Order: sequence, then structure tokens, then C-alpha cells
Amino acid sequence: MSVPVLETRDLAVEFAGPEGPVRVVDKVSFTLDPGEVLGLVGESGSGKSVTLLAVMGLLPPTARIVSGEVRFLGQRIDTADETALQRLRGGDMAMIFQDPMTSLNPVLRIGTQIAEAIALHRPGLGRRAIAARVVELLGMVGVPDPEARSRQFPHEFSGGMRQRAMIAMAIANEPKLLIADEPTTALDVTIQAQVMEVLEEVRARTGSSMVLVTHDLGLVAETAQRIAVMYAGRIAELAPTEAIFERPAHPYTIGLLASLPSLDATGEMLASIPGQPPDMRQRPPGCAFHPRCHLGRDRTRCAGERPVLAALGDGRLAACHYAREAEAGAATAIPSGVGVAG
Amino acid sequence: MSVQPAPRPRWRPPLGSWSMLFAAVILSLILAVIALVPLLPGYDPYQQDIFNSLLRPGSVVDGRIHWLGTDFLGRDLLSRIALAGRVTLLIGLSAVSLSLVVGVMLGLIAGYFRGPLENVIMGLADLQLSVPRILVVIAVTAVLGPNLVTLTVLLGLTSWVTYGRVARAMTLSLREREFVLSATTQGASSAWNIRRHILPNVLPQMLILGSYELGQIIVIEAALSYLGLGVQPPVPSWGRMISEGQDFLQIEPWLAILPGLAIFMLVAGTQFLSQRFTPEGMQDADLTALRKRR
Amino acid sequence: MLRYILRRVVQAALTVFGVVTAVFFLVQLSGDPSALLLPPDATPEDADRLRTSLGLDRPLPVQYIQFLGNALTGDFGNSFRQRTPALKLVLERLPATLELAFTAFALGLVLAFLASLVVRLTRSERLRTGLLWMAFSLQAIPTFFFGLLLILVFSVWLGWLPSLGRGTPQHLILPALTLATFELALYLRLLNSAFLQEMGQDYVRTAKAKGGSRVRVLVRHVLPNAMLPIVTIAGINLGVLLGGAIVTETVFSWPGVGRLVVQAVSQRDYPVVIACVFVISLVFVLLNLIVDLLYAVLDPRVRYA
Repeated sequence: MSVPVLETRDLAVEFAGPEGPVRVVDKVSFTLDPGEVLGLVGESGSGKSVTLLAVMGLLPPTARIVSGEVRFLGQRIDTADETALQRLRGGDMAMIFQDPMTSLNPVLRIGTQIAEAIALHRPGLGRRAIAARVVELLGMVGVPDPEARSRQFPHEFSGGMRQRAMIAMAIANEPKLLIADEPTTALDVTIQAQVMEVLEEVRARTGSSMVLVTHDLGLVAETAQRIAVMYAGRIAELAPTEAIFERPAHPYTIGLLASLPSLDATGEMLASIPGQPPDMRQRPPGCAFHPRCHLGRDRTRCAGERPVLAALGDGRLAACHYAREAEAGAATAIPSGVGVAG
Repeated sequence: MSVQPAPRPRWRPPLGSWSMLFAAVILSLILAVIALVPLLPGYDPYQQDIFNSLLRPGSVVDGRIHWLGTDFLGRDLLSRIALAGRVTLLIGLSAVSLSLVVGVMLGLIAGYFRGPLENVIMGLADLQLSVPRILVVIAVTAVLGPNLVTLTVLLGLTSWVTYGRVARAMTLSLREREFVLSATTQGASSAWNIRRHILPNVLPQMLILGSYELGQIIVIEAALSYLGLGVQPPVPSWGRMISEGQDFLQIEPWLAILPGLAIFMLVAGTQFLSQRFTPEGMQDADLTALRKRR
Repeated sequence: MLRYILRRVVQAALTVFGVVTAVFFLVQLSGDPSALLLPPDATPEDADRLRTSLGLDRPLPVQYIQFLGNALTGDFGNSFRQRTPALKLVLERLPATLELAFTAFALGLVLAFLASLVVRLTRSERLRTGLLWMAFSLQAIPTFFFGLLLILVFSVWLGWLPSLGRGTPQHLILPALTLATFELALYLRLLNSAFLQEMGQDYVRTAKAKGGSRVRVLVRHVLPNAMLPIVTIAGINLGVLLGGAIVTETVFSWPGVGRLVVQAVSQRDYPVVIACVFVISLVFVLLNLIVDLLYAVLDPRVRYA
């Protein structure tokens, strides 16, 4: 078996808070194989973005990795020094951010910003060659009239076009790992599909592996081979995409699926998960999900013992004491018609 | 979005509490000098004594201690600093009050009634800003001649712009708020709305701004007096004392330094403290001006 | 872009027009200049003749139009003291003032930028607090008093630099430093908050994600953005700078417009005062215009607005 492109083991991240450190990512372990797309799904505050900022070494100053390790192509990068990380970032490891409105520098031309990504990692390349590459990249991501557009400023681009420019910037050096942090959340619904299409197309062309962060299960269904569902800083379930949709084994995943709008659901109220995600400063004892869980709400084991991520076979992992029971009950909880498209 | 924004530190005074303590101490010190020295025996800011001029601090003449020495005419420096402080405070507070009233009134009118009136008022503000404040005062002083009342009124009338702009901006947003709208639908008059709803919301900001402006006005007054265009002798002023002391810089630098120190204590004290109470986003009067401009 | 420039030029012209109008009213306030111009033994007929020759017997609106015309051609009358055109006197002094103001402006800005960059790069909280302390304290010291302290230390005690006049580069050091100090204090504070604000922006994260080093991210990405508010403030603050120049020139006997206007006021030489006010306002409006156009160049978002 080949070396995974990305591997995290028991990764934990803490933020400094006024009442002591707050652990927002806890014991997160996953691997990403070459060419694979992993969907990382969860609600806001579930720790999915922080996990990936930790991978990139871009945590804000108030946050730090407290334990665990991150390996990129087998090499530890959580302990690497800043210079080594700078070589990786934007080179073999690139990131696309959520909000293209604020993620581009307002006072620099689009072309300049993409050119910077190239120049930083290929110091020998001449200005002309870089400029040509910028135009090529913009063309690849479907920006019309790339030559003229490269001379424009971010505010002259629409949201969708800006995100295309962000994608062009990220793939500039044909990275082995692409991290896309909710790349379409800030865009209009009509634009989302186009941008996802472009992203998947250029990813496939460069052969990059990708971690796709989203809170939208429907979005990853079409792109990801495997899906990791995060809840309250931990991975709740990690399984091949098809298995997640057909045999979910964590009550939280089941809840997420049940709240997906389905093709058959004609005017019916969407089922959703009762309650709110926990305050990370006061994580419930035992399983963090148990106060909202239809299975664990009244069980003492769920309130007292933290479930570990355990194998269920066929590459499926779930962190639930009653995974089998959940799996069995899932069929009735999820409206039919939700599934892998295509 | 699931990245917790880095927990931003809660806003604290720019320099922490030590500076606030420092500000409180120097401010109380200078205020104590201004308030208490005139009560001391031997207080006399005007009595000249040529034979005992330029005495060092702490000198004793005929049983009278000159704590800070005497000036070139033999007048007691401490007495003069205290009296000049009273004059400065009188001018400063009056000018600030005047500019605050004018600025708030014009700002409220511009912000509440909008229309051509707003354009006129804001145009006036822009015009005012296009000439250095001190130049306006100098030019008018040239015509009217320097005296205390003219100086105070001039300083007041040339300083309204900051209040006017901030008051207008606040009014613009306040007049759209529910409590004003609901009052209007219930038949409240404009005057009622302004008095009951808008003014009370604007005023605290204006007072904070005023405490900052007080320092600015004191500095300008000192500069004018230094140039001989402000407070006129024989009434003492810190600015003029510095200009007189400049001639004796080589032999008795304290003559210029002490009044300068007095200005610093009063201005730094009030400005540090006013900064402390200025809410985030308005910490800089200059930045506020910037926001109103763009 | 063209429309923006046009709008700003019209605005500037309107401002100058407003200043001239204000000056006209000031002249009206100053009363009848014939009393000042005529010898004490002049007859009432002499006064009438002079008034007629000055156009003072005409109705106010006519005088106003006439004044506008004169102002446009730069005719503010002769100085009462020296029988030369007032504007000429002012223009002779202008280079000295501009030299002082620009040196101080550049000095303050450069020092503030350097200090802020060092603070950002070393990430030293102690240095940052120290500089802020200095800035706040300096802003509470009147310009002229700070100048005096500089004279005391560098001229009186150390004897390194001349304290009065203009001529050699050494003469420029103390006045420029005096005037720059206020600028420095202001920009230090503004840059500090501008940097803090910009460092938290998303584009900074993007720049880091591209693999840029800390210095590169700071200089290439943060600095241009942090500069924008500074440029605007610099424009607004030019008035304070020119005002400060008036006082600083007097402290150091610097032969500029500021010193001229102070002298003219004490001699009641109105034409010179008016010419000074006009020229300083004009310089200020022009510089402001330049700063705003510069802003448009620096911030692409304004260019097409």
C-alpha cells in the first residue's frame, strides 16, 4: 500500500480562552490516499476547519496543537519549522478558503496574486513564463478572457469568478494535497454547482488528493470517496460515501441525513436534530452527542463513557456505543430518495 | 463557517491600567496646584521685585518662599503657573462648551432633517477643515485684536466640526431606529424626537469627545499665547511664560520648562483619561474623522 | 477615474472659492484701511480720494466681485509696511515653509513606518507598548515646547546644532524634528491599529497559505492595505502640519510664511495677513487634492467608484 498523502493521528487543538484552554479538536485521526477525495462534514464549530488549519500550520496565534501528529507523505509536519512549512504551503499543499470576497488582497491585481503563488515556489521562472502560466491557469478554471481579467482587481470579479481565481491560485503548483474549506458556501446557489465542477475537474487533472470541508452532505456526496463526520471536535463516523448514505452507523450522521432535503419529500417538514451543538467550554460528559441523541439520551453508558472510533467492517468506523442499533434503526429514520447521485 | 475566529482580546485602554494611574496622578497634581496655590499665604502672581528676579526654585526672600523661583521681573513662578492654569482652564472649558453646543446642534439638524440644510452644514465643515484652525484664529485676531473673550469665542467657533460630524453620523443611524420611528408614528414632533430620543444617545459620546478636545484647545491656546496672539499681559499664560522663558534658556531653563510641564500634565492627563472612556472604534478622533469622510 | 479626479478638482476649486469669500468678509471686518494707509495729517478729501482709488465707495457686491477678480490674479494689494505686493512677500517665504513641512512630513512618516514594521516583525509586546506610550505622551506636548526642549538639549547643552535661522542642512534638523514629532506620534498610533486590524484579515491567511514568509506577507500584503487609512489621515492632517509649521517657524526663527503671518498680524499689515491665509489655504487644498488622488492610485476600489 502506498504512503498516504495526509495522515493525522490523535490530533488535538486547543484555543486559549478567558477561562482556560478550550479543546476544539480532539483525537482526530484520518488518512488520505493519493488521488482520494475525503469529505469532512459537520456543523459550524465542529472543529473541521480548525483541523485543516492545523494541518496547514495556519492556526491563529491563540490556538495550538497540544497532542497528536500530522504527516504529509509520511513526514511529520506538525513539528516542522516555519521555513519548511512555507516551502510546502502553496507548493505541495494548497488551500482554498471559504470566502473569496475577503480572502483575496483587495489592493493587488488578480494576476499578481496568482503569480505570487507561482513565483514563491519556482524562483527560477521568468516574468514572462509566470505571466503565461497565470493566463493558462485562469483559463483552466473557466475565467473568460483570462489575459484581460488577470489585470483586474478582486472587486471587479464576481463571487464565483473570485473563487475560480482562488482555485487557480491553489492549483498553480499542482499540489499533491488540496484543502478546500467550504469553497462554495459563500456563493449563490446557482454558482455553487459550477464552481464545484471546476474544482473537481482541475483536481482530477492535477491528480491531487483533496480534503473537502463542508456542512453540506449533499455537496460531498458527488465528489468524495469517503466521508468523515465531525461532531464537537471529534470524528463521529468515517466511512466510504456510499456506506455513509446507505448504512449510517452514528445517530448524528442519521440526523444529518434526515435533515437533507430529499427529492421525494413533497412539502413535508424536514426532520432535524433536536437541541444545539454543545458549548465547547462545557462539553457533555460521556458521548458529546448524547443529550441530543434518540438512542443515548437516557442511557447511563452514553452519559458516562466516551465512545471510541471503532471499526464496523468494510472500512467503516463509528464512535457510538450502540452503532449496530443505530444502523438498524437508520432505515426508518431517513426518507427514501436520499443517496449518492449519479 | 466553522473556524472560531481567534478570540479577540477584549478591548482594553491602549496602554493598560498603569497609564491610567499615571494620568490620574499627574492630572490631580496639576489641578491641585491650580486650585490650592491661590489659597496659600504669599500667593501673588503680579508683584514684581527686580532685585530678586530669576531666583532658583526654593529661594527665600524676606521669609517668603518662592517654591519654583521667580521670573525675569521677580514675580513668583508658582503663583503665576497657578493663575495661568485657571485662565487656561476657563478658556478651554468655555471654548469646548461653546463648540460642543454649536457642533451638536448643527450635527443634529444636519442628520435629522437632511436635505439642503445638511449640505450647507457639511459644506461649511469641509470649508472649515480646509484652513488650519490656528490660522483662522490668527487671521481673525489680526482684525479684532487679541483679547480673552475674542480668543475663547474664536476657539469655540472653530472647533465645532468634530462634534458636528460625529453627531450627524450618530443621528443618521438613530433616526432610523425603532424607538424613533414608533414615536414618529404616534405623532411625536421632530423637536420631541430630537430632545427625548436622539440627544440623550448622542450626548455621552460628545462629552467624551469634549474631554479629548479640551487638551487640543489648551495646546492651541498655549501656542497662540506663545506667539503673542492669545492671552495678553499682565494676565499670565503658560504659552507666554514659555516664550518669556525662552530668552533665559541658557541661564535659567526652568522658567520655560515648568510651564511646559504644566501644559503636559493637564493635557496628557485629560487625554489619557478620555481615551479610557472612548468606546472601541472611536478611540481615535482622527480615525472617526476619516470614517465620516469616506 | 477621470470622473473622480474631476469631482475632486471641482471640490477643491469650491473650497478655494469659499476661502476667498471668507477672507473678503474678514477684510470687511477689519474696517476702513484708509486710516492705516494715510499719514496722520491727511485731509478728509485725501481719504475720499484714496477710498475712490481703492474702490471702497462702491456697493458691497461690486467690491466682492472686484475682490474675487483680484484674488484670482493674485493681487492682494501692497504690504502696509514694505511697499511691495503682499503676494510677492508671501511667495518669497513659501519655499522655506514647504522645505520644513515636507522634511518633517517625510521624517515622521518614515520613522513611524519603520518603527511599526519593527514592532510587527519582532512581535515584541513590550516595544509596542513602549512606542505607544511615547506616542501618547508626545501628542500631549505642544509643538513649540518640544522645539524648545530640543533647543535646550542640542543647542544650549550639547552645542551640536544651531537653534535659529535657515541656511545649512544643520539648521533644518531641529525644526524638522520638532514638526515631525507630532506626525510621528499620530502615525505610530494609527499604524499600530491599522496593522492590528489588517493582520486579522482573510487575505493575510491566503498569503500565508501560498507559502509567503512572514516578512513577505507583511510587506507585500499587509503594508499596502495598512497604508490606506494613513494616506487619508495624512491629507486631513496636513492642516495640522501647516498650523504646526506656523508655530515651529517662530520658535526657530525660520523665515517662512508662518513667521511672516505672525509678524504681519502684530504689525496689523492686513494685505500680508490675507495673502498668507490665501496661500496657506491654497497649498493645503492642493496637497489634499494630491493626497486624495494618490489614495485613488493606491486603492483600486476607489478608482472606479
